[in-house]
Amino acid sequence: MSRRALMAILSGAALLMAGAGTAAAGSVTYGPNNTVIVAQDISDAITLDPQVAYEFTSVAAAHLMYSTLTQFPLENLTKPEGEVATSWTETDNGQNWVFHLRKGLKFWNGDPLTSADVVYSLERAVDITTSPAGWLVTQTGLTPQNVAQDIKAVGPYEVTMHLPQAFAPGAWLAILANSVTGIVDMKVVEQHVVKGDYGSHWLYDHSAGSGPYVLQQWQPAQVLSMTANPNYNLGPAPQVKRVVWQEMSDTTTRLDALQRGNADVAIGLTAAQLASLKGNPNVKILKVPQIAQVYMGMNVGVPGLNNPLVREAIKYAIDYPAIVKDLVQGDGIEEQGIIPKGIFGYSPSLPFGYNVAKAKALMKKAGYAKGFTVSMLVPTGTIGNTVSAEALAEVIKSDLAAINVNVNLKLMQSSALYSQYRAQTAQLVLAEWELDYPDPQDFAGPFADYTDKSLIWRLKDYSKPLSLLAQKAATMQDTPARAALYTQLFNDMKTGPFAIIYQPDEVIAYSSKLGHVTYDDVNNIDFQNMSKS
Amino acid sequence: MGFFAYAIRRVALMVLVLLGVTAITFVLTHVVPVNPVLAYVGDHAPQSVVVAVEKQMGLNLPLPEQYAVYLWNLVHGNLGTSIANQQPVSYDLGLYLPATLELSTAALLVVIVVGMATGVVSALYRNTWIDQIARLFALGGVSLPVFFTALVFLGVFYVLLGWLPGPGQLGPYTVAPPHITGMVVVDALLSGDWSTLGDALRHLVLPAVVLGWASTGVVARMVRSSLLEVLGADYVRTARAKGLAERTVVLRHALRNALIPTLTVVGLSYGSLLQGAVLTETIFAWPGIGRFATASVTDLDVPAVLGVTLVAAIIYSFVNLIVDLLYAGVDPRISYG
Repeated sequence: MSRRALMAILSGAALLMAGAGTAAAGSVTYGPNNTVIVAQDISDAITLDPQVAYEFTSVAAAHLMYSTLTQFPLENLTKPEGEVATSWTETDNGQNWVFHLRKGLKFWNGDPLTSADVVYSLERAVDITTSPAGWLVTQTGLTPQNVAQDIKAVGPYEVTMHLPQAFAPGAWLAILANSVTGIVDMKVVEQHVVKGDYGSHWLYDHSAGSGPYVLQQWQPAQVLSMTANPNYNLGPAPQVKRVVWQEMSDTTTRLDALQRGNADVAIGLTAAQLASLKGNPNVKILKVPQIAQVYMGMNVGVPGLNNPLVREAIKYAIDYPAIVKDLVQGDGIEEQGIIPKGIFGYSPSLPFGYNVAKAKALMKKAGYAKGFTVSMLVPTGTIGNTVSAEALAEVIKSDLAAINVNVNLKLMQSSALYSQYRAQTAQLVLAEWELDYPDPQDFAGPFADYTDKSLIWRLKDYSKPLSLLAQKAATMQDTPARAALYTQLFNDMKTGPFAIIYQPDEVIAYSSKLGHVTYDDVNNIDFQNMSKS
Repeated sequence: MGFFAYAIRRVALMVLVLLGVTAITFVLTHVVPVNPVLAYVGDHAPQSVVVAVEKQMGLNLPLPEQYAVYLWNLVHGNLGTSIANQQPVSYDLGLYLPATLELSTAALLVVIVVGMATGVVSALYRNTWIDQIARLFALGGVSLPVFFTALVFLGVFYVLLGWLPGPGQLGPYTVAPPHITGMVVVDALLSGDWSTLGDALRHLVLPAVVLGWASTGVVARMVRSSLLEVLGADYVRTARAKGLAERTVVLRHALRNALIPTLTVVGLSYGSLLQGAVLTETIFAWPGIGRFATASVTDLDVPAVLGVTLVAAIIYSFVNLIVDLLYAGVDPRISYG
């Protein structure tokens, strides 16, 4: 063997050994038994800063990385309990609060969690005025000008809060369980503040929380992975040591990954794909009512739609049972009030049975027996988790054709749709509204109070009685009196601008190797208590 | 005109081209009646948040003023802030560009190796069944849409045969190497993480082949026709008459001259590859600039769209310049002046 060849071999061997050593000395890796892979479209995530994150993926991730003052028990969103807070008192019908914190809590890096971190985090939610999520906190009247005096640390384990506006106590506790109030390590975040950005650029793709998981890697629209927090002491250590969300925008790819065992969980499969998994011994299906609604909005400023009899007729003309049974394939329930099932104030009443004869009679009474033509904005992609929005729009179009309402469908990207919807130029619009926090005000406000400049305002319905009802109910505790107001709202909105089509289910397909798989709209998938065999 | 003077003149012209590109892109992105802020704030945020973001981004200013601010920032090396995620556009480009560079370079290797080999074989065995197969291969690359090829290759090699992994840069159980260049293969190599390197290379095969096949066909056809032309030249006849081995005649004498037009095609191919293999990156979930461009255009994220367009224009112009300058090295007859 030549000297040159020998040197080459020895150099290669040295490199190999160095590489092996480097790999061994690198970060801890977890094998398949300790890792759960989630196949999902994660391209919606914009940032992992908890005070700014507002998309499905980023909120789910923030929830795992950050603790909050309160939390909801798994699969029970009726009453919050303490997480970082052990107890609290409220006075003046929820405008003044005192929270007592657990002692000895730590962030992922071992820093102690104290009241200063809680106050800092809530201030961030208010001070970052461009945050899409901050309004959840600022709707209480907190502003950058008053937050420093209204939210204070009293010693290391007590926080006092004064909410400038009357606000339902249950709603505030629910918001304090939302990731927008996720507690960040003030010391660490302050070190990364650049040009007054509140550390947001750094928190975009880093974590500084005390939740059960720590961010390992985030490549936007590619992969998001977390590992178990070694210093987590708010509960039992997670059995699943690593969670990986793998970007799979195509549902067929997700289904294939689940069936091959390359993914443990698949989210967002179509109704037909879910049906194809029935009978597969390696896959289980979890179906949970989502606290959300798929609805059609009617702009009351449009000729035809401005007649309450016409709006009522349209609601009678839609075949809701057929939509839920045939199109949605049972992955949802009929629901016609503005407050969905699972929240205080829900009513199971279905006043609009499918009745074409009655719809035609109403159209005739309104002077529109010959009907009219109107356009409907339809988003691309799925709606209600499992259904093509275009397919649903076609069904509604067909239903309305029976009463001579001719609908021209305009399929468009969400950004284009919401540009027109927010500009009050949509005639009909097919959309959905999902939960922010489990309190009826989260739905009643946008759907009934035009002063919010939200959904009902976009449809040009400036009803003062509805607005006053919603505002009054918004400040109340969950009492029979509050429930009665929402019942009244339900009845008064029968000729309103919303046809609630159905309440969708969240359907998750997962490997039978996983144990203790739960889902709800606040806790999302509970990886902390999940097991994998 | 000397070499350096020529290069400087070309760079100066490039700047004018880039200015025109930004102006046209800026106007086009503002013609569409979509509020780009909505992609960031979402549907639930109140109007006050929409207004606050518009003000922070300067979107409430008149259009000419917005463009002037953009150019001023550009001259100072600031590509602006993405409306969709409020991060510096340069930061986002830094995240996505390495993946495209990695994929495009791998595809280019496929183009050069396979394309040239196919072209040479096809020329040497002209009008035989070998030539027919080679030409069919080239035609397939040029004719078949990339999305079709990608889906078929995934279906066959991943789903059916299981020989190669599915979409993504790495498998779900593989931890990414430390970030050095942003290119996973290179970073794994530099950090000595051989198992990650192997996984990354396996994931690179399918998208690189799919992306490279189209340009492979073009290069193969160009090499074939150029080589056939050169093989009929007097100096090649002389070389054969001198008793040189056919391999020497082809590789040392004929191929070098046949490479001149091929160089142009290869250069232009690299430019095309780098501009964002949108469909390939989408189907293979490759986190490159193509996917970033798609998302930016969909959301009408004007600063991001301008940034991507600028990068694509710079790359294309630069690659063309390099190709033109390389001619002098390949063909001593060429001079600048």
